Amino acid sequence: MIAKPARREALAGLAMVAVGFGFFAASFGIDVREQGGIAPRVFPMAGALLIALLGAVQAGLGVARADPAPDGRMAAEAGVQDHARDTWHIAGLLALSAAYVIGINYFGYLVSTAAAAPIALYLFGVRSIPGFAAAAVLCPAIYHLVFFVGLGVFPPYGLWFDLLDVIQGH
Amino acid sequence: MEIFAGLLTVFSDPWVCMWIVAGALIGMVVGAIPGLTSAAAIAMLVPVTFYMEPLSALAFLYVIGKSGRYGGSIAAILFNTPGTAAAAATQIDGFPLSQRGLSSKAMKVATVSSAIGDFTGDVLLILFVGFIAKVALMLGPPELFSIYFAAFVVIGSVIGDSILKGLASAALGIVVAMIGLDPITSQDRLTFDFFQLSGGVPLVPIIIGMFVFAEVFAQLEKRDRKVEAFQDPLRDDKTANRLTWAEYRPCLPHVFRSSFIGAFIGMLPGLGSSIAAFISYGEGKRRAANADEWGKGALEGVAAPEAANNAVSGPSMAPLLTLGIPGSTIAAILISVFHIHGFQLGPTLFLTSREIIYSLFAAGLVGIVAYGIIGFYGAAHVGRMILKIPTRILYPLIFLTSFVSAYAARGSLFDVWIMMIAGVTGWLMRKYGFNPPAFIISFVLARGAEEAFRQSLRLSDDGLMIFVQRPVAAAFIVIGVVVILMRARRMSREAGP
Repeated sequence: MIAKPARREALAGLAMVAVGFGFFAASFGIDVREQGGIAPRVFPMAGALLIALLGAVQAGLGVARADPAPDGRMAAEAGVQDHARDTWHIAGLLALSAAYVIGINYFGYLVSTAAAAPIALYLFGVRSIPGFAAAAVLCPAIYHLVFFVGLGVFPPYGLWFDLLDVIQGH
Repeated sequence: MEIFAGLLTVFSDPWVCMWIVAGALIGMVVGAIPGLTSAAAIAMLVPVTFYMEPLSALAFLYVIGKSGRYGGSIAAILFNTPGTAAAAATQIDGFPLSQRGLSSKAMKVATVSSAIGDFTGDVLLILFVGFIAKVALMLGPPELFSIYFAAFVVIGSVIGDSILKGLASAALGIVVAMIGLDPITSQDRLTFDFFQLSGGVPLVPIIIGMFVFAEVFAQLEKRDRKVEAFQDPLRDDKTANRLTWAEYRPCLPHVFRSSFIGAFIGMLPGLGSSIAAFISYGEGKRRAANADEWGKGALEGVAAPEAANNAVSGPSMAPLLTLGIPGSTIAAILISVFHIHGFQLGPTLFLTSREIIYSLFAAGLVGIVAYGIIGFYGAAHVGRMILKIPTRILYPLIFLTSFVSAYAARGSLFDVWIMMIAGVTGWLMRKYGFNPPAFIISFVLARGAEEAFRQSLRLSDDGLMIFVQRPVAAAFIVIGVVVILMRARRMSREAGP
C-alpha cells in the first residue's frame, strides 16, 4: 500500500495532466484564420501543454517517492472518521451554494438568503433556533439595504416569485 | 513636490480621510482574524468601491492592504496563529512574549516597527517610482514580454513549496485568462459556447472565489479545532507592558535593515511579504548580539519581521503602476479598481494621472499614521474583540457576503457561478499544495504578455530571435531561466538523495 502523501502527490499530478489535456484539446476548437494565423492558439496551447507536462512530472515524482504506508490503524481510523465528517460538511456547503444561486434565480434574493443563512449557520455548528430566525430575517434585510438600496445595485429578481415585488406592491 | 500636493488633496477632502481611517481599522481587524487576509477583505469590498470616488476607493483599499499586513501580527502574538503568512515569523518571538504576560509590549513593538518599515517603503516608492516609469516608457514589446516571462517564472517557482505546482498554478492562470475573444482577431477562444464568456473571465468573481469562498471551505474543514489559549491582553500588567525608548532602541538597527530588505523584495513581482519577513528574521538573528534569546521572546525578533513585512507594501506597487505588473496579490486586485475608474496602468499613468497617483501615495502615508496610532493604543482591544467573534457565525456571514459581492460587481448571476467555481478550485488548490496567488497574478498578467508577444513577432524579421537580439529582453529571459534552475537545484538538494 502506498503512503497517503505520495498518493496525494501522484493524484495531484494526474489531475494536472487531465486539466492540461482538457484545455489542450479545447484549444483545437480555436479557429485558425488567415488574418491571425495560429497566433490565437499559441498561448492557450502552450499553457495547457505546460500544465500537462508539469503534471506528468509531478505524478512521476509522486509514484517514485511512494513509501509503504506506516502502520497505525487507530490513528488511521480516527482520520477516516474526521475525513468522512469533513466531506459531508463540504458536500453540504457545495450543495447549499448551488441551491442558493438557483434559488436567487427563481425566487429572488430575499427569500433565498432567508433560507440559506440558517443552513449556513447550521453547517458551521450553530444550533440555536432564535439564532436561525434572526439570521433568516436580518441577513436578507441588511444585505438588501447595503447593496441594493445603499449602493444602488440592481437586485436579482426571481423568475417565478420575488418577495421584493410583493413588498413593493407590484 | 507632488507628494505635498497629494497630502493637501487628501487633507482637503474629509471623505478621503474618513475612508483612510476606516481602511486602517478594517485592515487591522481582518488581518488579525486567523484565516482571513486583507486580500480577502479587499476582494469582498472591491465591488463596493466601484460606487465611490476614485481616490477614496483606491485609498480605502490600499490602506486596508497596509493595515492588514500589520494586523496579522496581532493574531500571531496573541493566539499563536499568524493572521497572515508573513506574520508567521513574528509569531516565533511574539507568542513567547505573550506567554510571559507581555503581549501588549510585543504588539507595541510590532506596531512601531510596522509603521517605520511601511514608511520607509513608501518613501522609497515615492522617490524612485517616477524614475522607473521613465525607464519603462523606453521599453518595447519584446522587453515587456521578457519582463512578463520573468515575472511568470518568479511567481510560479518562488512562492510556495513546490516549483512544479507553482508553475502549474501560473500556467492555469494563463490558460483561464485566454478565455474570451482574441484581442486581435476577435474570435472566440475556450468559451465552451457560453456567450457570457466572450468578454473573458471577470477578475473580481475569480478573486472573491479564490480568497474568500475558498477560505470558507477551509474554515469549515477545521471548525472544530481550537486556537491556543492565551492571556487576555487587557489583564496584563500595565507597567510591565509599557514600551520604553531604552527597550526599543536595540530594535532600531534591525528595523532599518529589515525595512530595506522588505522594500527591495517588494519591488520583485510575486515574492511578497512572507519571504521578506523570514529573510529579515534570519538576517536579524544572524547579526544580533543576543541571538540566543531569539525564538524565546526577544523584542528584536518581533521588530525585524514586522518592519520587513510592511516595507513590502509600498514598493510592491511600483511594478503595478509603472508596468502594469502586480507585485502582490493585493496589487493584482487593485488592478480592477484602477480599470473601473478609467485608469490605464503602465508608464503612461504618470503622464495622464500623476495627481491621483501621488494622492494615493499620500493616502498611504496618512494610513500608516492611522493604523500606527490605532494599533499602538488599541491592538489589545482588537485582539480581545476578535476572540469574541465566533468563527461559526463569522464564516457563514462571509459565505453570504461572497455571493452578494460577486453579484454586485456587474449585476450578473453568471459571475456568482464563476465565483463558486473559482472558490472550489482555490480550495482544492490549497488543499493539494498548489498556489492560488500565482494563479491570480498570472491570470492578471497573461493578456498583456500575449499582446506583447504577438506585437514582438510582428515587429520581428527573425521570429523568436527578437527576444535574444534585444539585450534587455535577453537579460530578463536569462533571469527567468536562471531562477527556475536555481530553485529546482535547491529543492532537489533539500529533497535529498
